[in-house]
Amino acid sequence: MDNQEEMKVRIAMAGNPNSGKTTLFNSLTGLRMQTGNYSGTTVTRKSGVWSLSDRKAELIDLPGMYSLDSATAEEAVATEILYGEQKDLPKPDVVIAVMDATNLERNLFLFSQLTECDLPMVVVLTMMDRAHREGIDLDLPAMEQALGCKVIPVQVAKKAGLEELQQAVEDIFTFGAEEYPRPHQPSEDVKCGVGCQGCPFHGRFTWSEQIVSAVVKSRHATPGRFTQTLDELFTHPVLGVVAFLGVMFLVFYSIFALATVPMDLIEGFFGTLGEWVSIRVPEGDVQSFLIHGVIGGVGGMLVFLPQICLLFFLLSLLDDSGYLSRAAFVMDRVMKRVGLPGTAFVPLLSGHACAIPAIMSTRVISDARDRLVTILVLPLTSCSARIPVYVLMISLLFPDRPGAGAATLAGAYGLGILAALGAAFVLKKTILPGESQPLLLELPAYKTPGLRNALLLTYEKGMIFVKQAGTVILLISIGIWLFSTYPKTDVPADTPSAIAEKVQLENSIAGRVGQAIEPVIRPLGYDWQIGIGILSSFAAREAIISGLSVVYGIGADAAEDPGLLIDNLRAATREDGSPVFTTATCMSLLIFYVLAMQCLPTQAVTKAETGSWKWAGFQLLYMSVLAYVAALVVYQGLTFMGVA
Amino acid sequence: MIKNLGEGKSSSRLQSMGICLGRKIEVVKKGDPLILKVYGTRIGLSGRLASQILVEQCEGANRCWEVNSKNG
Repeated sequence: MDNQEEMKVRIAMAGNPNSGKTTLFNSLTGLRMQTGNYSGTTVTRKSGVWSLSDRKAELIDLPGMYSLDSATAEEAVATEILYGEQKDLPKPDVVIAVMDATNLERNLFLFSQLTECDLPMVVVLTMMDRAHREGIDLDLPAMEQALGCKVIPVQVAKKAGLEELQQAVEDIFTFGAEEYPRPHQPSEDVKCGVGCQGCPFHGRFTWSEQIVSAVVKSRHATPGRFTQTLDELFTHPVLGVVAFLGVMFLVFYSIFALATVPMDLIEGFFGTLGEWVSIRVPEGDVQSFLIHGVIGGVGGMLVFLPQICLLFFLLSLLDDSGYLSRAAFVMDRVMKRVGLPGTAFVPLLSGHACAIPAIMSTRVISDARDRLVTILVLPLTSCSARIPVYVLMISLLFPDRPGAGAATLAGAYGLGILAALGAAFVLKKTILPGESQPLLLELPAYKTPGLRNALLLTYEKGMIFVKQAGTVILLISIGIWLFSTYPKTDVPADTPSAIAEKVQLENSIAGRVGQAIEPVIRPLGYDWQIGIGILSSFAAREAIISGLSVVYGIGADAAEDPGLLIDNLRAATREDGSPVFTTATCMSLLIFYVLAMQCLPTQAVTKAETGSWKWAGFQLLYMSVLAYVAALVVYQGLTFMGVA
Repeated sequence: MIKNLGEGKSSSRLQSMGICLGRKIEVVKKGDPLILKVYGTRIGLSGRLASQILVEQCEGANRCWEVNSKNG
């Protein structure tokens, strides 16, 4: 945290989900925020610097909650913070209670619990524009008197009320937060404390209704007509699913269409950087280390940054508009059959663009077990990095039959989806047993999404990804470079570079391992050269293309010419003169690449999101076994049927 | 609503969202999952959870939720 010494005061923002809390937080802190996890949990911790006139405050955006009863991990963490029980995080000095002015009854329920934290409070009323449209007229002085604290209506888009909010908070610190009057607590009857035999929820809601009756002077419009109309379509059992698939198609189309240019620019940048190094640094291990170990490793990961940013930007807009909860609602019926909640569907579908942001987006799933299952099966969906491998194999299988090629490509995608759903079903029946959490989610009123919120979320997720590229991935790619570079093999000076590359790779640690595992991969139809290709692609699956180019003596540069590569692979023969890439071998390889876990960045994100390498290791293991068995069945089955 | 027959965290969450003793609930969309409206907010919930909620039909516009219960 910057200026740690200056930030001696802490202000917590508490409120219901969809109350506009994060919009207010973003407005007060902007880019001066930090994100991470609360100690020992995967609950997102978000705090930022709020510059008051005489000091800087740490503003803590507590997870959205309906009560302090710890019904979810988020509520448990929020409660711990408010009572000063969260490890490494002192009790806040002030609480800002954010309330949706159009739903005061439910928001006051939470307020009634917040008053028991013994902290000075300021109430902020949001959604004031909608409240005005619905004709809600509030008696603010009466509300302040009833609650015992300042009540400030805020409209972030118009910057209305922000100065008043700052003044109210500064007044508390000027007076002294310790001594500042606390808000009124409901009576013991309402709280239903010791000895109470009634329903505590009932008492608090009745109290809320009494406050609302006293402070809402009028309310004339019937709320929700627009929402009602849209929900007729978006929550319809059939039309809702069709609409959802249409929306997701548009999202993915936008990602592929818009990400191409920045991805090419990033690739071009790292290519130029590599060329620059090749000119400045003499040929040898140092040059190879810089170009292939550092620049290649980090560049290979950062090239996905545009897709990640676009996906989060679009998902944030959809979420903010109120649509995503409808998507979860309509997909719940389908997903619960495999033991997952409806909220798991958007991350699973997002995995078709890239598994990394999709795993990061599983935080929308509230139940920890459902979230873990979703993370574990998500890389089975066919991400965009698999496309070059699919195209290569299909080109080898069906060179002159575009119809068969298209059907095979669709089949590969279908197999990925079926495998993900099937694996989820098996996991829920075995090592992660239990039914998925029953659907219970708020369907907020539709609204125009905030661009600022979407941009800030995109920035936040993008930075998390970039930090990983610069740390874990860099170390891993250096390790892979070492294994494929050493020990060194001396070749005559006049050896063509493609042959020299091949000899070097064959004799490296990776090459020797590839040859050692040949007995294991032979039943799948692969020789040791394909084995080296597979091993080299465990960091990133598309690396098999350059790997195969090298081991078949074409040279890594030839991988950029698909025609040349396909011709050479088709002509490749074993020692007995039989072709290497038969129909059975190509189908086996295709199935293997649909199902195998071959993406180190994904593994790093799995570790980050589950908090343990154990689950990343399990993901690698079960997907590798699944891929091996499936490829074995396909190769042996086709061979048995005489399909060579 | 007159009674929540469920237990545990889901039941707690239901009640803190306003689906608790004495509140007026409107069924907006039937089926599984279904949509309820409480305090003007729509809530989607599974049939499994909905089956834990005991309700009494309102007569006209009268307040019909002053039902005594000790179990919530």
